[in-house]
Amino acid sequence: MIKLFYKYSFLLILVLSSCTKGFDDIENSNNSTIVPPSTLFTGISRSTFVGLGEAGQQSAQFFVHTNGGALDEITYFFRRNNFSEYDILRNVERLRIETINQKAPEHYLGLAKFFKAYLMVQLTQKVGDIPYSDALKADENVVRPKYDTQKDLYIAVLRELDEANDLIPATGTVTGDIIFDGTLIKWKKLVNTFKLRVLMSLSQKEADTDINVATQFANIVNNPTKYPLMQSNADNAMFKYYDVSGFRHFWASSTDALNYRMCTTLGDILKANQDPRIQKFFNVPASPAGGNPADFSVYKSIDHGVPTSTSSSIQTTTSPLNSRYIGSATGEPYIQVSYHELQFVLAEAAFRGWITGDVESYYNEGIRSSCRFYSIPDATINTFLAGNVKYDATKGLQQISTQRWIGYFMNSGYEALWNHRRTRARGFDPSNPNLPLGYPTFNIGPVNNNDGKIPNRYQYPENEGRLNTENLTEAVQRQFGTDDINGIMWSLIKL
Amino acid sequence: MNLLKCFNRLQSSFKKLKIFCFAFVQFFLLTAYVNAENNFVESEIIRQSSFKGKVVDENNLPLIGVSASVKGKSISTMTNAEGEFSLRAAVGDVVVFSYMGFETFEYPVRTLEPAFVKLVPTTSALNEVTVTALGIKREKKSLGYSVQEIKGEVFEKVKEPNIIASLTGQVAGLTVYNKTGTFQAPAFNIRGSSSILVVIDGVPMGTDTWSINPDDVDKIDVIKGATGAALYGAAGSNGVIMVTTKKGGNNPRGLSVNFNSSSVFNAGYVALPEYQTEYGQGLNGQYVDGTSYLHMWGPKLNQPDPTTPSGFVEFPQWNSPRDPVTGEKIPLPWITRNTNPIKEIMENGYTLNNSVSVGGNNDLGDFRVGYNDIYRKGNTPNTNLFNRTFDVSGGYKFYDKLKVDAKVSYNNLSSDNYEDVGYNWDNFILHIGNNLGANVDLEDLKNYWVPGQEGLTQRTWNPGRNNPYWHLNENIHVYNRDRFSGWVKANYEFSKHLNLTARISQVYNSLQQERKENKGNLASTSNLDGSYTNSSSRSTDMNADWLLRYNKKHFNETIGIDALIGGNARVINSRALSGGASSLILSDFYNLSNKADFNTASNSSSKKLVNSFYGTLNLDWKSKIYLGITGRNDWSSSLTRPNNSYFYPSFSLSGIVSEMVSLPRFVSFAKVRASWATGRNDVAAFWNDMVYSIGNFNGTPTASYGASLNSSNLMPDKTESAEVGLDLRFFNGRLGFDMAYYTKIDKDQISTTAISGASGFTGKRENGGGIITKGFEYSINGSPIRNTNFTWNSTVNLSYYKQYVHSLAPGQTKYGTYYRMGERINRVRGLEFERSESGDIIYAAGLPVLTTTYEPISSGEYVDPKLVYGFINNFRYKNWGLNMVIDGRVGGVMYNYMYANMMISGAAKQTAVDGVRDKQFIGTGVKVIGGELLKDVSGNVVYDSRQYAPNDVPVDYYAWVQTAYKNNYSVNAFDATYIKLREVALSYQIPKNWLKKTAIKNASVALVGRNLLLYTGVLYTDPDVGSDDAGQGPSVRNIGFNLNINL
Repeated sequence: MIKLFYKYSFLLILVLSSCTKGFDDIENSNNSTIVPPSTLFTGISRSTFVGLGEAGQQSAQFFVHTNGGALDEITYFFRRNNFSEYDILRNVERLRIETINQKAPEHYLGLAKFFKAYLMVQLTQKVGDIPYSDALKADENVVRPKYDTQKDLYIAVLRELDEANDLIPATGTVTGDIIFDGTLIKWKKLVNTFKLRVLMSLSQKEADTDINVATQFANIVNNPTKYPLMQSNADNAMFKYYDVSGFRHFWASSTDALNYRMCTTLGDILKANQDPRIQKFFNVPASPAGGNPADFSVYKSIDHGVPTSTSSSIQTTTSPLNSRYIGSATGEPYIQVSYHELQFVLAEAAFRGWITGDVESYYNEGIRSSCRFYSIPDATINTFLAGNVKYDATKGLQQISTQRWIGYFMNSGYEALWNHRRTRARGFDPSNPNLPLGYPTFNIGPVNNNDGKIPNRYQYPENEGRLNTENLTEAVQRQFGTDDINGIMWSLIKL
Repeated sequence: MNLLKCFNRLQSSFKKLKIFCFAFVQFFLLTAYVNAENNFVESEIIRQSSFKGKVVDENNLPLIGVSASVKGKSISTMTNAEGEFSLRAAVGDVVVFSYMGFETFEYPVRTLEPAFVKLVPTTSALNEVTVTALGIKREKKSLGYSVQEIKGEVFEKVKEPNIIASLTGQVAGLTVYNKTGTFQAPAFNIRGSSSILVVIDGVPMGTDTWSINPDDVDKIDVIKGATGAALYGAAGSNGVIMVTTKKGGNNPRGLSVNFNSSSVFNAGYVALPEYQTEYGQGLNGQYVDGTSYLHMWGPKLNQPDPTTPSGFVEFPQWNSPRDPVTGEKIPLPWITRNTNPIKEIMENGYTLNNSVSVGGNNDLGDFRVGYNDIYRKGNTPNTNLFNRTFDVSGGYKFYDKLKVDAKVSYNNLSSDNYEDVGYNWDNFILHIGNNLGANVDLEDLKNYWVPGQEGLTQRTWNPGRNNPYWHLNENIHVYNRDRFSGWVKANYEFSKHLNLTARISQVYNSLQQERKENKGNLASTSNLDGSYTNSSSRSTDMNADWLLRYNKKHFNETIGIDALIGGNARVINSRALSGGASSLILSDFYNLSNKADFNTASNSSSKKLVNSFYGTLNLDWKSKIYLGITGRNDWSSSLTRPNNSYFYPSFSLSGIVSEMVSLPRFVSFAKVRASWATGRNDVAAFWNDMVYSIGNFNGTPTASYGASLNSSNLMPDKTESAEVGLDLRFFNGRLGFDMAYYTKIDKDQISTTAISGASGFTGKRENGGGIITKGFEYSINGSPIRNTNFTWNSTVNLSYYKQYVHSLAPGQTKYGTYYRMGERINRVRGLEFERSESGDIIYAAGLPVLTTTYEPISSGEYVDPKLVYGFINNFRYKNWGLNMVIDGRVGGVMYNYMYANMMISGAAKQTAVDGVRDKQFIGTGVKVIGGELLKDVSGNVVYDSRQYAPNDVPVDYYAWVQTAYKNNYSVNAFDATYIKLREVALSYQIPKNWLKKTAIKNASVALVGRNLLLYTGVLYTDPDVGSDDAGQGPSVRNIGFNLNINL
């Protein structure tokens, strides 16, 4: 028996020692566990910059839907937002990790910081406080991240953007770039241009010494070597569409877009100013036929917030979107951050005295570059600039804001709406009737599901209330009391 | 790996193999006859100089195949068909007679006069031997857990294409849900768990049940708990179906040939939807042709109109020919043209099952070759199923101590077309079942192409529904699977008490599936231009194991030790490749090149290794108390270190009370048993990897990371089961009672719980909640009558279980979506009538109000049945035998989609009774006349001041039905209770003397029937299917015959 045991115990030893033999040789053949950072960069760029559909545009009163449409935004009923930015941020985090792990070029780290800042700002503008310092740490077992206050978030974001600028070199190229064809300097310009947008969005916080909005702003503008900014439309951050299945313009096969008509809010301003962009934005109405596109009076609009029965009844006699937006595979590139926006931001900064430049020349350059985007000849632009839009310092903020708003037609997602919100001072202090209602003045129609008001924010996602209850409750209570779409977030409250 | 190559080669030459197989069988049929003749001559010679006699059972019936051997000498024989034996024995020798199921008998030879030996059946479980995990034979009485045995005869006469169907009602604790499709395996669970391991001859074969050839089965042992299966590891933790196949060694000495033929035919239906035949298609009493979503709420049929040529009301209809001059549709009479479209479209299917086996054995070895061929023609037209199995098995004793056994089995499972099932628009039953009414001429529908647009555009009565004949002929599913399995086992006996077994086995599966969808599909989910997909997959599952077993009684035979150690290495490989063509260029041509739009292609592969080491120790004290301990450790490649190594033990204890205390005389055997076991289950290969999915943006590669965070410290999930049982036999085994109570906890279940998206991931995969199953099983068997000419054996199986939430995932307040801690699960949820406090249905504008959320229905019912039972009777009178299986379930709720849809569409018979359509309808209930109902956000009533008056608002009947039956559990959910006459087999054993001059040793014929009678409150469909009819077809009755011949 003992002998036998010795004789066969080798079998036992053999088995025990080889229990996990070969386990490490099995590789996942179905999915990759490692990818080059460039592929993540491409995916992130796509998800971040892909053109947003109509929600931000309709609520900004550029055009109206004539058969009701499905979007709650049309009636200013801003419901629950989702946290889809975090889905992109997961990949931003992977871009950071893979860059470090694979010792890839540092500029990817800079790009990761830019995207993190960009997406966090995009989200906080929609809802208010969001998780930042605790966010994206599920792998460290933080599954219920705390909400950072908007102030802490902005301080951190501005720092991230500074670091991004440091990490992105002024020369050289980057692989996987679908926005700027690999030119790193354009990313560097985007980072700084975007930072100025962020600083301007905090104009109500001029007095906050923890942020020093004006100083930070001036530091950038005054040091173009360190902080290069966009210098022409060629520097615009735009998302291009291709006539290839899956990469076509969002309205390439949409019949819904045929139902949009010029909104009176925009139409009246364009017509009053004899703005040559009107024929780039809209077509003449189908009926009566044969309208001359150069004749401003043929463009007809529909008021925002009218019942569908009204809007659909005048569908044929009002101005639809310009045909190039509809049914075209490539449409028009979708601008996310632009040179003309930068000019209006600089104009406002000069107006506010943050920088020393000439307000009017920034203002004019903004209008000019916006018109140039639509290939309007310089002669036409010069005539236009000399007309009703001519800068008048007594109405400076109103003019800058209005032109900035027009420049956002069919681009930059919610920026038009958020800037309107920022300038809507009376909304935040109803006791003072002398404050502006926002530039330009928006119409409130009879069809409004928010008690005749334009909302200030979206609600937090429903599942966040289930999955991160305590932190969300705390964040909601400290900001708004209840998760109210008319709640006023920190960045809008004048200090 | 050589084995795999061998399989591959075999597969590639399958056609040759088939020819070879037939030739082989024919050869043996021929030689068998010759051999039988020779044997006869040979035994004549021996008989003259030997000890001979006859062996009978307690009823004086001859026992065939009884082993008779001379004690201490290597002389042995077996009894022939007459129970006769003869062997060379001298006066003074002791001849030992042994036979399964009977007490071994030693006969001292005093004279060479013919002996008349009567064997006594084993009255207790004393000597019953059963096959336990890893193929180890052990005495049944020593087991501390529940095993139920089904003998091969159960499958001999009445055949099902899938053997699991034949197990319905046979085992307490095994619930089988039979389905009606041509190619649908029954769903089944043991003690509420559906992932059941199939083991054939000790070798794990995965979960496939199609490749068990019923004629190859000697017996099936169903191991219900985790204890008995502990040695099979994870796969066996929910129970094991252990198949022991027939061996050449089971045949009498020499060559034997068995031929079995069974044919069953569809003979009507036990469950079938019923149609109204008074109204045709349309809505609100108006005929609608063309554009609308059609229902059978049209005008009344068969209305006389003396002004028309037919004498009935006429108007243009979907199939009206057009006037060649005006192009207008010509009016047709509006009359009943079919009475039940399902019944009229369905055909009479049948199942043919033929098998032949040849076996033989001698002192040194045995072999068996078997071929089984099942062909089913489905009752759905143009469907069929082939299931063919070819087995070779054999063993040989190379030395006294070394025996090698091997088996190779090849199974081909194929279908030229089988119907799609389930609640989707590829299920043709849904197209006809819900919407094809009495006005439609089915003969006319058979021309299913629009003339001039053959192969492009369908001609159908309803623009939103496929023409059933188009569907049956142009929407094809092809299936072809080859499965090889084989094993080689060597057993070396070091001594009587110590032996070593080494075994290697492999299962190889190769599956090819095609989906051919011609142009013109109107099903909403499908492509109007047709499509074709072709997918294939291959997988191998290899196990290599060894076992060292020691078995000896010690200490004056008081302590028995049965100890075993062993190890297993398992390699699982799989590969799949699939291609698709969308939008066909040519109609009815299925090739991946025939694509107008694009091709799709995908592939996958995986590999997993599991190594195991295990041991058992079984101790017994004087064969009265038994203690069993097992332990197994697995190392799995699909988990990360250190969690990829996990150990799980089991313990069992049983005591033979009847041997320890004196019990009343009528108690012949009493055993109590208890066991506790754990099981651990790993995950599929790569399942826990964090991966990127890759894509491109207009040619630039992109990648994105998975949204679910997989835990790197994922543990295998865990099963803990405990069982106590009682095994009693009375009146010398004439009455037996076996009872088991068990609890089974499935915990640390791996699931993905939702987490805040701000954490970077939307879900986290982790070990989480668990459920506990508690249940009882009873099996009562008895032989109320047992005498020379007439015996009656009867078995009753009863079982039930309930499942409760046992634990929750970290941070969760509910198990899954619904259930709180401790709550019973599988509660029925759905919409129902809104009712007033007094229970009246509330009406608004004459229509009933339904609840809006899928909350538990007010009756508080559960999906699981309250009781599952089987009642099996075997009668034998002289040469006649009658087998009868009755089974059923009590309770459980079934949602009846077929019924609901047919009510809503107005096709159901119930929608046209008592002229209900011809008058205004006032639903019974109340309407709200004042007051208010306020609910908080959670749906709880804050206050209710509503006042009611009887509903008096008349509505159209169709409007009422369409509201009342939409997703409404109050009317569409049925109590799934049923009782079924599952099986009857009347057999006749051809008297031996008729066969005397032939080579036939035994022959029997039988008249058989399956699924014969159904009694249930469920309308239109067979509740056998489970908790949801899933739009299944009618339930068919089968009647046929069986012929069994032994050479």
